[in-house]
Amino acid sequence: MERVKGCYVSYVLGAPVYDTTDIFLGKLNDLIVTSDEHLPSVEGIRIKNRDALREIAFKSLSIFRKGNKYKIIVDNYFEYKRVENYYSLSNDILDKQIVDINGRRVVRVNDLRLAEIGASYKVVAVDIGFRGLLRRLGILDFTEIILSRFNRRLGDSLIIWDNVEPIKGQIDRLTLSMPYKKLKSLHPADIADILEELDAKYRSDIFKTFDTRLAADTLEEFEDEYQTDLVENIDAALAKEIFENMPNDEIADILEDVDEEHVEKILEKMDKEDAEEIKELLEYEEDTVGSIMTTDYIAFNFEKTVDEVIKELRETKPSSEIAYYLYVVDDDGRLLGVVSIRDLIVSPGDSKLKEIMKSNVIYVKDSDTLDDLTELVTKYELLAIPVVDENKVLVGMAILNDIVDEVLLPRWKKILKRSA
Amino acid sequence: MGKIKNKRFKELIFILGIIGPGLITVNAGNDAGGIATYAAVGAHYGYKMLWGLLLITFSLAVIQEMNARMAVVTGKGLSDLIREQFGVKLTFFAMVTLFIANFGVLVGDFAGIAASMELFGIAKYISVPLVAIFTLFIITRGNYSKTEKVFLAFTFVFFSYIITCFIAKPDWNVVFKEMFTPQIELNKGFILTFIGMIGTTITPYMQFYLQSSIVDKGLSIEDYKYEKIDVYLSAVWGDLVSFFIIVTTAITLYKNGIHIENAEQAALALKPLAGNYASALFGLGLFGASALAIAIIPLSTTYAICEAFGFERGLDNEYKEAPIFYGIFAGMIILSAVIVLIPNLSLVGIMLATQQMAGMLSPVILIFMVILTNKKEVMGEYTNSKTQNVIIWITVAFIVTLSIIIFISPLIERLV
Repeated sequence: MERVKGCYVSYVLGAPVYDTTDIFLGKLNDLIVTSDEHLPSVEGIRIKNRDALREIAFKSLSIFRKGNKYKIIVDNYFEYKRVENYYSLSNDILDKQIVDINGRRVVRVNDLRLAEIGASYKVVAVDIGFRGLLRRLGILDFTEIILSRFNRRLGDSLIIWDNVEPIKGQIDRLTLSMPYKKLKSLHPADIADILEELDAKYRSDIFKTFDTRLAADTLEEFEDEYQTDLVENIDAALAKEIFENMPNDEIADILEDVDEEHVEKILEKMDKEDAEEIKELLEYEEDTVGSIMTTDYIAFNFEKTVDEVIKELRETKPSSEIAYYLYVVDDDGRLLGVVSIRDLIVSPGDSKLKEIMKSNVIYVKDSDTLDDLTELVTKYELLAIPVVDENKVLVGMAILNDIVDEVLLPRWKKILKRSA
Repeated sequence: MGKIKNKRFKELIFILGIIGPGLITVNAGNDAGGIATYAAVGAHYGYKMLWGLLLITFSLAVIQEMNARMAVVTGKGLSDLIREQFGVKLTFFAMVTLFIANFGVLVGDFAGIAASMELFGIAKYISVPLVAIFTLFIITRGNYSKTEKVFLAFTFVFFSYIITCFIAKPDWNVVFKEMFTPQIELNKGFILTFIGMIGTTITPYMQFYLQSSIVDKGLSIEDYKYEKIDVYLSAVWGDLVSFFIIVTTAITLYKNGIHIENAEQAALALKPLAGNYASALFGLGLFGASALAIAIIPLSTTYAICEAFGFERGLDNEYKEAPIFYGIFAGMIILSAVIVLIPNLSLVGIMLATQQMAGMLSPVILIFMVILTNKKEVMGEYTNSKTQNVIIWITVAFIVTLSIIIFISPLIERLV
């Protein structure tokens, strides 16, 4: 018998366990690891002796093999008392879904690789590949012999434990100091991609653990159907908190397909002004400018001076996206002109906006079609374009980013799909 | 949004939105093999199996309810649950079962394409390869959901059985009396047909498909009461259509001693309604039902298998990213098309035999389901009730017994 430094979990599950005096203790049923450390390390084992299960810890554990037979010897063993941060490999990890953080996808654990590091065996890698599957089924050797006849080999698909974040059990049993730390460190677009692959239940469970800022960013990145699903599965109060981190046009977009009663509940909880705006946005027909415009824009009365405007901008600190252009309106909110930040900076502080604004501003009506909008934006190479209603009252602005996201990208996707 | 003003109307829309998975699943069960089987049941044995259909309806309702409950409680597909709760080996066994059953049903559906097109004078050597190529193309490249609706519309042809049934005027007293009088003939033909009837009503494929579609819809435990209506109603509705097919063929074909050996004979049952156009009408419906199943069955098979083993899946992937997914999908379609192209095969024979195979395999999946729905760690407080367990175990035991009888009957015949 030769002592092994590393092996797959599937090889040792079911292997006989002896103590140092060669007394048979039972067959290995499961391995218990702690999650405190960087790599989970084997702390205890569960053994089965004539249908009776018991868990033991030990001073040292050694794995031996002879040919295909494995055997485990424990030294100085005692009854194992489970403490907080543990999980069992066969029960909690094997066969479950895990997130491969680097590959940014969800895979299934076919097998686990153990290696002796320092004084104990640790889980170093997860086998998600075909070899692991065949090994578990007990037909790996057989398959490889056949394949070698054809001069072919199966590749390994191992991912190192560092790049893995277990999903199952995390919420109820595994309590790491910072749950989902690794997952949360990804870009929201990647998080959304990963979550989309998960079971609906895990998806909303994990989503609910996000802070509202991250939840909002991730929600924006989901495909439409998942957005609807998630919003319908969280309660109105949480939805309201998440929506506070999102622009109204995004919210309206998401709410479009959500069950109407749920929408009403969420809107009731929201700030009255925002709720009104979202409701108005929801009323727009699908193919109109109104349906994709944002109602967050910056407009000033034409009588304001440059100094007043700059002061106000410093106070409100608008996001860069909406500060491309500042719109100038009359007392009734009708669009008169546009000034850029550059215009403000180079003009004397006491000049009025009506003196420095460009009055031949290009605009669209909220009822115009998205085709009209794209045509204007591309023709004049605009970053954003003001949107007015039938009385020329300024009601919002359409930003190039949103046009690309919601009009052009979906169209390209369709065209690409067709021509592929 | 904002257009649906009436509150009651809104509620109706909401319920209709939930109702659907069950109905679609049951309707998909009425594919080529299903139609052929029900028609054969009526044509060959008259009303003798109606009692069986009545009992199967109960079983179907209980089974579908279990699926729905598992879906809303766990939010996971059936193959996911089997993998997580039973490990690799049993999952492999379940997936092989599912694959064989579905592959069989798929062959039956290609036989349906061949048979339906032959009614229009088109040889199977043309129709079958064309449909195979078209399906591969439309699923991977084209707009599948629109195509699906067209085929779904075709299948409404089978509602003509309901009208035909009333035109043919069966003696309803006799029908209902037979429905409540169990009869069994202890011969291979009867038992096989009976298993086929179970197999086409309760298919392994349906269990996976229904559960996934409920999960995909994101229904939660609050929607469960509506989803329950959906599965119960659809069990009754689906079997009602089967009921009318059986009664119609019994009154038209059985009475005249016509055995169904090809599609033309099966179409004869529609003659009271459609006259000379009977075979055209029947052909259209059979074509739609088959085409629909040819797309759905391999797709749901490969999804289930890839989900269970963690292979890359989904139509968004390129072929290189998900070779196993596309491999299984295309392999199933091509291979079953090739099988149907073997000369001198009885197409109706294939349609019936594949349903019988599905019937024999369905207990395997059912057993997995019952164990799962009785596990507290999976279902929490929503485990099966005693009545549900009794009904499901009787169903399983019944099918297993019939299957065993089939297997040992040749031995006994030889010994006696």
